[in-house]
Amino acid sequence: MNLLWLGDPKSFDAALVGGKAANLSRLARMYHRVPDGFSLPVAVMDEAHPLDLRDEITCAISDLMACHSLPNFIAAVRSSAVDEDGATASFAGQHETYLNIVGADAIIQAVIRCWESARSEHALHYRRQQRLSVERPQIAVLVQQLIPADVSAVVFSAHPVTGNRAEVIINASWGLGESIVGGTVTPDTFVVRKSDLAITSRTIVDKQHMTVSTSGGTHEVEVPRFLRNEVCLNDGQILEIAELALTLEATMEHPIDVECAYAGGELYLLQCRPITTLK
Amino acid sequence: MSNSSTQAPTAGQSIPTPPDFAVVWDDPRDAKLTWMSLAQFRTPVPPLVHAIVGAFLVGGNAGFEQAGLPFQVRVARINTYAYIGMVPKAAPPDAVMKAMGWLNRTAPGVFKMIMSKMTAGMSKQQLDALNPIIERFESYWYDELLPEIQQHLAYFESCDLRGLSLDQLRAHLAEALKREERLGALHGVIMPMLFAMSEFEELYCELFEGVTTLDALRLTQGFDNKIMEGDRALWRLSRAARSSPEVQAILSRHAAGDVILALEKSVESQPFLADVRAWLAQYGQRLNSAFAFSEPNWIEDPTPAIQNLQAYVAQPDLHPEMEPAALVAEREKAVAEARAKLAGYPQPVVTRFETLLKAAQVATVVHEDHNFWIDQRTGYHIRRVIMEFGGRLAQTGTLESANDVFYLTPDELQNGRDANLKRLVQERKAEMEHFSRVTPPPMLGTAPAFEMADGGPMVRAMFKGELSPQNTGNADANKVKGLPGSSGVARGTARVIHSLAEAGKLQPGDVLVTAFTEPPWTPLFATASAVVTDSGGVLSHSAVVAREYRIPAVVGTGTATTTFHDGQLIEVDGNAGTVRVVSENEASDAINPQSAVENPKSHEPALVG
Repeated sequence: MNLLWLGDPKSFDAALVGGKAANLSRLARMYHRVPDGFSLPVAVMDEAHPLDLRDEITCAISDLMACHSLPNFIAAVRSSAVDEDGATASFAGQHETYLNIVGADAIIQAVIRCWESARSEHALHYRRQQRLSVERPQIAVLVQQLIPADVSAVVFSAHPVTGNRAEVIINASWGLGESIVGGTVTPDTFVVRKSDLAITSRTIVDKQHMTVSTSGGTHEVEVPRFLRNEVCLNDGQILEIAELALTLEATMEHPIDVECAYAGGELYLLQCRPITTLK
Repeated sequence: MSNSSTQAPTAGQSIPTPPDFAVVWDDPRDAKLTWMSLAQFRTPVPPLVHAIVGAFLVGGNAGFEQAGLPFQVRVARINTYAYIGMVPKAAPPDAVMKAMGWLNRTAPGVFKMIMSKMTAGMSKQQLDALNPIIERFESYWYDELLPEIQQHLAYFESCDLRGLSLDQLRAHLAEALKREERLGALHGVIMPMLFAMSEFEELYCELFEGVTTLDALRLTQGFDNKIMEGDRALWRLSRAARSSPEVQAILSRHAAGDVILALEKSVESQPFLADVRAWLAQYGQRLNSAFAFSEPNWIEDPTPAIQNLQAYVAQPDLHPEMEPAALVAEREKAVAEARAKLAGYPQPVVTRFETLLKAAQVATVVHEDHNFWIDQRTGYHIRRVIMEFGGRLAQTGTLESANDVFYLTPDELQNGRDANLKRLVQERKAEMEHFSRVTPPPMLGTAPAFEMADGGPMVRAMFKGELSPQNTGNADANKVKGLPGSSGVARGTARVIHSLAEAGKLQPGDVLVTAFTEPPWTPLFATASAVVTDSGGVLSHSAVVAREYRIPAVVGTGTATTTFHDGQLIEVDGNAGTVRVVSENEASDAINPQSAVENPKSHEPALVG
């Protein structure tokens, strides 16, 4: 048995499944809509031949489809390093992510690429900078359902620049979150005052790009004109996101940044990390 | 300054008129408006026809109102020609207009910024007004508009014209004109159909890389409509004719105008003749052109239908375009591909795409069906009323002939003293005769102070329909550039056709070259290998029907009818929107085997048959 399910208490151990997966496993216990999935713990990278995993992954996919009544399982495959997502070093964007991956074979290919990327010069350089071990980078891989986001949001429970902790800042735009995280779109910005959950500001901008799933991957495309200047979250959604951020902040006892998405009217929690740069 | 009329008018200035077309304005304020010659009326229009057209077009203002457009139209008969004028709803003061014109010349950057603000405002207004309509477009047409149209038609049908007294007939004429105005309004509020087609086309081209407008419209093709239904029924008649040697002989030996008489004399042809009459009863309630009230309808004179039958009979059995299966298959494939590509897109994009696709598909049907119900059938009934009235006036000696009624205005027909009418008719005829030798300027009044770069989505849609720019700058003697209207490349002998009366010269495989086409012309599309028009855009009637017939079309060339002449072998590239002369005097034999070689329809032996 090589796989560990997200939410399984064994997955809380960052030494086994990496910081990202451990974190998400704990989140999955707190909040019911974390996209379901499983991890390939660090040991697998060294011990198991990827092709031996094929049957197990195939089985896991069927289980996930049955459990969530999915017509097919579309995966996001991400690396999860043992020492990332700590309170001091956020590995945001330092390891590979493969989106819109369908089928056991494609998932295995993505897993192998995650392992390889852990040894990439780029990753090692970052690790050196952060004074982390470069001798044996230990990488787990997280395979998670890709949420077909209509709108994605990045949320800060404290202002990431001014450090103001009285407000929740929400950046949101159309499609998958990559365009916001990657900075290729200027998102709408909403500010919610924590004390009374009042929406104190809405800045609706011309959102020119979005990331969408295309066959075998994702692609950044132009947002059609009719949608560009439309507000991407309604007030109810803004407040739902703000409340989620407040709950997570209280649980983690630290200001946090959150990645989340709306799909089919439901809010999904994709990631939650302590804000490491806060003064 | 002998050619002042041909110079481009100066923005905001009074448009000079040629000496033979001096204009006396009834209301001096009219001189401040811009008046355009109507494409349908390049010849003098009799007063009664003008009055009906006026009622219809002014009724159509309901469409502009509904779309939130800031203008209304008026119709004027100027020197016997019909002109349409745009009247701003809330005209900015002259000073503002002048200032805008000045800005445009001196500070184009500032002007552009103001214009783009205006466009954004207008766009929002139009979208807010029209989106709710196209979201329920199917029900809007079938449950709201069509039943009322059919009520008006039922009213006309139920009326026993012969049984009415002269006074009752006079009152009935007034009622008919009132209903014509209402039908004009119904016609106007169908315009969201162009908006639906245009919005869909624009969204599709935005969403998918490397696609064209024609690719987008492929997703809307192959739905049956009343015009294609009539054309197909006529085609089936031609198959029946081919199965009867007697009928076939009559159709091939007699001139179109003599065919009915010959059929009546032939015992063997009686079942076929009954079928022809049944077709005419169902599909012959049409005029040769939307406003050709003073010409016989097809039931009175079925010559245009017979000409089409003769051309069809000359073609062998297989005519795939008469069966929409291929169109449907192509459409369904394109729809499935688009849906697959959009599967990973945010829901608002998918929802908008599906809404517009559905609306555009219904709109493509309504584009033709409304013509069948309103333009054709209403025109047919209006003419019947007028002709009955004219006939009575001729019987009583008030007029020389029934047709003279067209030379009088509705007011004269309602209130005029009978003794004066004959004299008025003579004056009007003389006036029209005089002006028939004069070329009406395309524009009168005052040139617009500036042009909106983009008047918003509804205005864009209208330009893709009938309002394509007339002046395309084509100056080459051997080729023209227009707009791609229907894809494919075909070669054939050019036949320049100005009216249905000339349609008989179109032989199978020829290229139909004309100013614009109207639904009564569509049976010709089964004979033509391609269509080229002077006016109309990608959403015009010619283009829509050419796509249904899967023949190439180039539309909105501005100059095709004056560039090409009968007998030239021309090549029509419906993808590029170009037409060129291949050889000067090719194909004196009407059926040119070469045409089949280059023709996407070459799988059908019809063209070489």
